[in-house]
Amino acid sequence: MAVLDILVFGGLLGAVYALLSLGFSLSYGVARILNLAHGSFFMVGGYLYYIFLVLSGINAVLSLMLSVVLMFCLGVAFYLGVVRPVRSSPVRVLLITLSAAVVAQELVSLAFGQVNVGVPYIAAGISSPLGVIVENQRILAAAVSVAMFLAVWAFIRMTKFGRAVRAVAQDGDAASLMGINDTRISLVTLGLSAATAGLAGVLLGPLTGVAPNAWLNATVVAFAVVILGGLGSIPGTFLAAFVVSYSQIIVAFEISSSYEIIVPLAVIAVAVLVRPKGLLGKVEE
Amino acid sequence: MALRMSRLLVAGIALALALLLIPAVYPDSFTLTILTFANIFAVVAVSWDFFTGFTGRFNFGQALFFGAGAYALGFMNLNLGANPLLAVPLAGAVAVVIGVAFGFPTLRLKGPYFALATLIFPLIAGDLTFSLSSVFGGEHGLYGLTSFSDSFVVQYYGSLLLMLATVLVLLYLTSSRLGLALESIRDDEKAASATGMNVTKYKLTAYMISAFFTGMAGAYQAQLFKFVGPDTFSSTISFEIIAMTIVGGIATIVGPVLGAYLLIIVLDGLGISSDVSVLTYGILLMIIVLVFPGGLLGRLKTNLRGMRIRRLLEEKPDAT
Amino acid sequence: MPPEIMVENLTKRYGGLVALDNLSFQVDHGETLGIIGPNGAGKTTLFDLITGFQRATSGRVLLNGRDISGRSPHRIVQSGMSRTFQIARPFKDLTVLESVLVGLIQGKGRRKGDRARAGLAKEATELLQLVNLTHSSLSLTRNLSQGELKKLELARALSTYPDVLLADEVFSGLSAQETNELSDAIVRVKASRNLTLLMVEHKVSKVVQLANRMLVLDYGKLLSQGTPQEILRDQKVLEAYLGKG
Repeated sequence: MAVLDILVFGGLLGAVYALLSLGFSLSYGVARILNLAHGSFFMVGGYLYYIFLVLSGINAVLSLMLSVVLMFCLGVAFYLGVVRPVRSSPVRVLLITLSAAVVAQELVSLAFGQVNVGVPYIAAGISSPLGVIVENQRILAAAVSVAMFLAVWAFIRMTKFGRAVRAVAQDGDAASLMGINDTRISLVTLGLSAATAGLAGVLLGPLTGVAPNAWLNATVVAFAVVILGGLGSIPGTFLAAFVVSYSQIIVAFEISSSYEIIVPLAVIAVAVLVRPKGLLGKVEE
Repeated sequence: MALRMSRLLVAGIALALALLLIPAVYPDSFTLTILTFANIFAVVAVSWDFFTGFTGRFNFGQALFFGAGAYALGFMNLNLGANPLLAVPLAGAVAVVIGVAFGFPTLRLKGPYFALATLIFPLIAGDLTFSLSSVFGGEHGLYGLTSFSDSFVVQYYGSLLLMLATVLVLLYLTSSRLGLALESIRDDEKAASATGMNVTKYKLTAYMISAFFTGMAGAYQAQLFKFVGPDTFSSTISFEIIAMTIVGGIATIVGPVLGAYLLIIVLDGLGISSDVSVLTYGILLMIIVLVFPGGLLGRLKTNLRGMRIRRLLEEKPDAT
Repeated sequence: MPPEIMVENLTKRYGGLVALDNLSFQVDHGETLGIIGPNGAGKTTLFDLITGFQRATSGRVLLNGRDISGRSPHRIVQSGMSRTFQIARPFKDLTVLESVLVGLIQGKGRRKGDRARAGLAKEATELLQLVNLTHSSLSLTRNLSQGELKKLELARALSTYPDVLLADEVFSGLSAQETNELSDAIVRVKASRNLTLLMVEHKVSKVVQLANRMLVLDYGKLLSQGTPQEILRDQKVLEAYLGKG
């Protein structure tokens, strides 16, 4: 039975990880911004949902949509106010996004306390796919994640804007020579980044509770997934998300759940040493 | 431009004198404790600066060394009856060993990967103290350690000595060949290795030195509190000393001391709660990175450079 | 005496792309070997392989009869071989003087006799005089012009007192005057230190002046080798340069 448990839980978690990491793939792979606060988008998304749903009594679906839209705006504001001024120096970007993550954690902590905050499920009840007992919320989270992931991917592949994004990812200098506006691309990239990570936070929120320090684990996972999947490859991100989720689930089941955070780090280590370009990577690090 | 060396020297001596005379002016335990604290953190910040400021490799988990030193002293004190004063440098050595265990495999990794790894190290170490709770006391930590003195004044002077020693030693090292080699690694590793430099060896050396002094700081705190707990590995410490260093001036060795004093005296002195405290560190760090990336004492970098060039050029030629 | 450098069947593949194809040649002590070829011919890859910055797919490199394939770059430098980079890699936050000191402080191993007695100050000054950069010695490298950066590259490569110098397009980005100055400096250094020199160059006119022998690479293969005069008259070489456009 344990095998089926792992299969189902790992798969459902992987879908959400894919959504979470998609934004990081965009900001790191495209805009070349190593945003240590990426996990903060995840964390804040969950809290926004809590504010709308629990504190303001707005219905679940509307709360979700409001949270996502607000996260998009937050991502844009983050890029303009925090990242863009220091973009020329990767060290400063690293420092400032780290401090932003810490600031976000502390602000949330001061406002809501340090402990997990409970959020009601969108989808109630349980099901048993493959005979494994699973909350419907988990299934919903995975389904929505996959849908959003595909939507964003389609956007990148098929629209003119999406092509511009890929051009910048391939060669930023050449792209700007061709008149592609890097600021607009980066703006939207960070906005999408925040929105998708925030959505992942909303979806997982009811299952894990929202806590101020959730950003670290989320950032590390996203980083691992993107590196393993290969910079600049969205399908790679999708695949790698499952590798990471299954590894984490297996470790949690077989060894101990407190070692979960080490798994993505180990994944990074292995990926970097064995195959630096990642599973499907197109861009050399 | 750079500040004149003579003026700097005078300022330095005046400051050192002032620090020495503090207990005469403010003999109360509160002030002395805050300043002792400031010295301890100054040591951690300065040793962080020595590694990250000069090799350019970001260490987001300096607390690994701090906690290692603290627990090492705790262990030696409780189980081996070690004299707390002698145990401080020993604990520093233990911190080096632990640091190397984590650092050796990861120093070869590229920047962001190494940085991410350092973020996780202290978490692993903290986890280990929990799992080995019979030895390390788990979440309760180690109690009943002995300090080398119960006098606030003596403890203050001890911390001051540690801080001044750290600053002087590291200033000496950064204005030597080692400092130049490290900075070249920071600027361009490939080019540095093209001059025949074993880059990994130098990075490891700097890492070990950083671990040693921070380990001593952790040990000193352990004997000061007569207690060591898992929060000595906390990421808050790692983050705060980064903020202190950036605010004070990265790669200046002296800047982090100013940053530590400023932040600890203001925040702890005013009794600000820890969450707001960390929040302040974070906001301050963001502001400095945005506006003043060199930090308050950033100009001192030029002085350091001048000092180093002079020393190297005045070196006696090798005798045959 | 064995040749100073022996390259045997050196091959480098990146997935399906063959950057260097079974390349073999040798360089004798004291020679100046010019290496030319159209863009993408594999010249810089060759240098990377010889100096240890990349590993060959197969084949080997011998320095004075000893196999140095797979050695790390810094050990190859310590064995007496030094290189410049095609795109200058300055130490961005250091001054010109410090850039040169970095190589000089790498231990006494390679400094013999007069060098060792001179002291860092003298050696640094000498190196900077060689490339005419003394007036900029306290300037930060980030304030240097392209030409000055190339000169610094050379000075830095010489600071390790190599027996063999690999100069990768050392004249690119230089004005006519700078090119002549540097060229004279190279001739002087070569003579005074008895260097063996490998030069990858685009300015064929310059290479022809300085080289004893030349190698022409095309698509990673050895197209032709011989004296400069022979190379200039070689049909295959002309085709390689002109025919591909």
